Amino acid sequence: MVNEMLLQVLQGLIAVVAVILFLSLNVLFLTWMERKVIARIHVRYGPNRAGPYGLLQPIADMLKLLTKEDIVPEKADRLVYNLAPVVAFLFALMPAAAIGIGSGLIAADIGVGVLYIAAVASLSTLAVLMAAWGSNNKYSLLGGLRTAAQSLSYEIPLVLSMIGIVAIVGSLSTQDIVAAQSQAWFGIIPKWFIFYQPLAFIVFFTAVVAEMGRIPFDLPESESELVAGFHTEYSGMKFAMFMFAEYIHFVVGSALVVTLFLGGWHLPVISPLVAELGWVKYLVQVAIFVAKMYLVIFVLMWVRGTLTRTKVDHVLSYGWKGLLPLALANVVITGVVLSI
Amino acid sequence: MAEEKAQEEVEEQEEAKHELLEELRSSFGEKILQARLLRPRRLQVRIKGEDLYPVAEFLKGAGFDHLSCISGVDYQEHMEAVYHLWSYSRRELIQINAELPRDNPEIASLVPLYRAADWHEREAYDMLGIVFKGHPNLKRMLLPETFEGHPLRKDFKTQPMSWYLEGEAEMWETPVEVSPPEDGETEVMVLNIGPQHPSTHGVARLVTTLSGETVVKIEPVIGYLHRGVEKIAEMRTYQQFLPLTDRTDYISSITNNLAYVLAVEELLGVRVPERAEYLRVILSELQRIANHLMFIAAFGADLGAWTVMMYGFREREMVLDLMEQVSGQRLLYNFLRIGGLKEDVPPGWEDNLRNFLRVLPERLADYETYFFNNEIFIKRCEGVGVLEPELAIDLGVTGPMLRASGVARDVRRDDPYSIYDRFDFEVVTEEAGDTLARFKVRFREIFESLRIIEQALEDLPEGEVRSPDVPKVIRPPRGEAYSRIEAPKGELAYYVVSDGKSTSPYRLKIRSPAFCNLSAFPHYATGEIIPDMIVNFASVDIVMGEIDR
Repeated sequence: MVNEMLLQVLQGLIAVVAVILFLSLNVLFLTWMERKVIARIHVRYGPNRAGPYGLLQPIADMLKLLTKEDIVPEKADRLVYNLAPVVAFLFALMPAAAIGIGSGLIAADIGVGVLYIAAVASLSTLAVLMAAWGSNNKYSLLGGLRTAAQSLSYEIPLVLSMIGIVAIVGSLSTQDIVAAQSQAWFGIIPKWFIFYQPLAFIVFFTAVVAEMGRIPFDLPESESELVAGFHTEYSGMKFAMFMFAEYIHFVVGSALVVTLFLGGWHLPVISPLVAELGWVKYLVQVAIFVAKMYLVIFVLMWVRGTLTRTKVDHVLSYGWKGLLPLALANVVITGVVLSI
Repeated sequence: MAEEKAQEEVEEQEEAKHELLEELRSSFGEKILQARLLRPRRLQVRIKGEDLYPVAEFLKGAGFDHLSCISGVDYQEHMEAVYHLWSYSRRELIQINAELPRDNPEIASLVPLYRAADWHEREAYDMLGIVFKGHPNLKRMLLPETFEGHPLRKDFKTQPMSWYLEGEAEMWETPVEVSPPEDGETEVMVLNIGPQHPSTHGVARLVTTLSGETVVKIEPVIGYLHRGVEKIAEMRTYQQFLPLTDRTDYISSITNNLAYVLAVEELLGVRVPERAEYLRVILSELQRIANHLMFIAAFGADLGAWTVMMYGFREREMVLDLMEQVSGQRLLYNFLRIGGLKEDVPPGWEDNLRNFLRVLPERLADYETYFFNNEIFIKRCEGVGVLEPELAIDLGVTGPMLRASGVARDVRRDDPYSIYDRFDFEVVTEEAGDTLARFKVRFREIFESLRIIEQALEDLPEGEVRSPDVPKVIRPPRGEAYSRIEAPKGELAYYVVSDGKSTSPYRLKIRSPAFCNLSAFPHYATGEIIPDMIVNFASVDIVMGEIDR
């Protein structure tokens, strides 16, 4: 009995460490990749001094931020100000627990998976509001208010666009959702939900970008208007934690797109080949999942390199008048088709 | 043939001018101390300070709708407020010298007639202590409120910097007063945008009153980059001042050089060799291209499109390379000289230029796709910050900003300087008057500049590039000159006064286009939200070095 409990605790701890490790490694790589990809789009070279191809740049950045002076504004609300980066970091980690990167390779396969992810993902708005309020800075406040308005408008289409998939699968668990996409027509064309639910995919993808606060929806921290938005007053490691949280959102958002619409760790032809191979199977699954995830990430970087920032009122009207009706229509269509 | 035509024009103009001057004399009689024709399209009237308002009113009625510049000159025995008015319909410039007693320099404000007078008068008050009666907001423009004295007065004693700035710290401590909201109103918030802010393009400060995200009121505060260029000019020789003109609008230094040397050449009565004239035109137009590319780049950055920023700089690099081959410099060329150019262009440069003329349009095709097929971009700029043409003229707005409001005015065509009357080019206009129009005008002007360069390159004659008539020591005869040119940002003018004795200007005033264009900004940007304000501000195309001088 005691042993069993200990084992469970140990298992949980390993899972937590594994998730954090996976995310941290990806985030480190992403900071490098983002700078490199954007640089190439900009006709620049990007980091190329620290290590081969500048690969050690993230480490150098990290060390720099660690040694920076930690400045707390005189008139800041100290408790809220100091707590905000921690909260942001924690809430960013939480959704990752319910996303698997291979069959069974998941920290917590909870029955309400998708619902849980949607719920905790929206919590990160709280951290932004805390930072905005705690800094006692007008730019931060405006940025925080924009974040609140933006996540409110995009949360709803985000959740609604997942309903179609949940209805088809009949389960909220991410493991079940991926399992439902394992088949393929004629062995080549995958039965991914992007083909079943193209409308939902468009809505979800847009809403995810808005939730991440990336260009063209990076209004909360639009540097040309609000200097840096909610994290204007943060420096050193506290700033690093916000950045970290932002990149975790990036990873988690892309992982979610892969899980829900791009068949998770399944790939026609290859997946059936390795299905009986024991531990190699898991390795291939993770590789497929990560590859797909980086494809999504690359598209998002590409978007950033191409588009201009939208305007705050356009973002809101697009969310309420554009995405919401589309998401609702998708729910109705799915419902009708399923009941036939 | 061409000379004959010019001669005819002179005669024609002279008659027309006499008409106006006669009218002035008959309406004001003794009050007109002197009225004369300086050269074609240039008139001068000398009056007493107290007669200014009726004379200005009369001239406005006679079609002088553009207040180009207000300068003050301290002649030690008396002071003068100098007004330059341009008439778009008559295509003439009139200079009003209003004499003031030195102990009590008071003059009527022209703000009720020309709203452009607002900032000019504040600057003249700041620099020379001329009091403009009836000005709605007569406080210092470029110097801090705590500053003592008026630096462009001849008896001003210069002091160490710290002395001027004493008491400035307390000034910053005083909070901006905000009236509490009335019932049913939301509380407004004062946001200081700048002096350090990513979109202020230097060190401009916008004291913005916000109601939520809506901008209720904007008050630009400038002077953070004030280096006293006009004061320095009085302590340098004419040649020594030339490099400093580079440093006013540092994005387009050739055109600054040009405006300055034109003014000094007019004072000296020097003719510039043909080849130098052609090269001046080519370099000025290259500079315009560089400036507009820089504008596009910065505009992209303000919209969050960093790719555009990098592309704009890449294309501008080609111009910088050409300039470097000519002058050895990449930003502050200091290449024009009084009476010509520093030296001839290096051999092979013309081929490089031809290559550039071929490559740039290809590259610009990408820009067209990027901007005009980009729905987000169009939606952000269309209908934002509409500046009505009447208001624009009233506010003294010039250059691409005025042309974007549908007013086809261009100094190159209306009041040709150098040899611009020999080239065929279109004065680009857009009807909408919004930020998109301002962007489009600048974008299309690049192509017109390319056309001018092509024509100039075709006709480029051989010969000297520097006039042998210019003496080693430049001591122009007593007089005044006002040289207007179409700089990339608008009408740039240098008003140079020589006392006939000294080797340095007695007074030098720079009429900066961005200074006047910026003064229009609060008028069209209020009532919109912060993101709109940023693009509106970017569309002015300012360089603080030129505004603060």
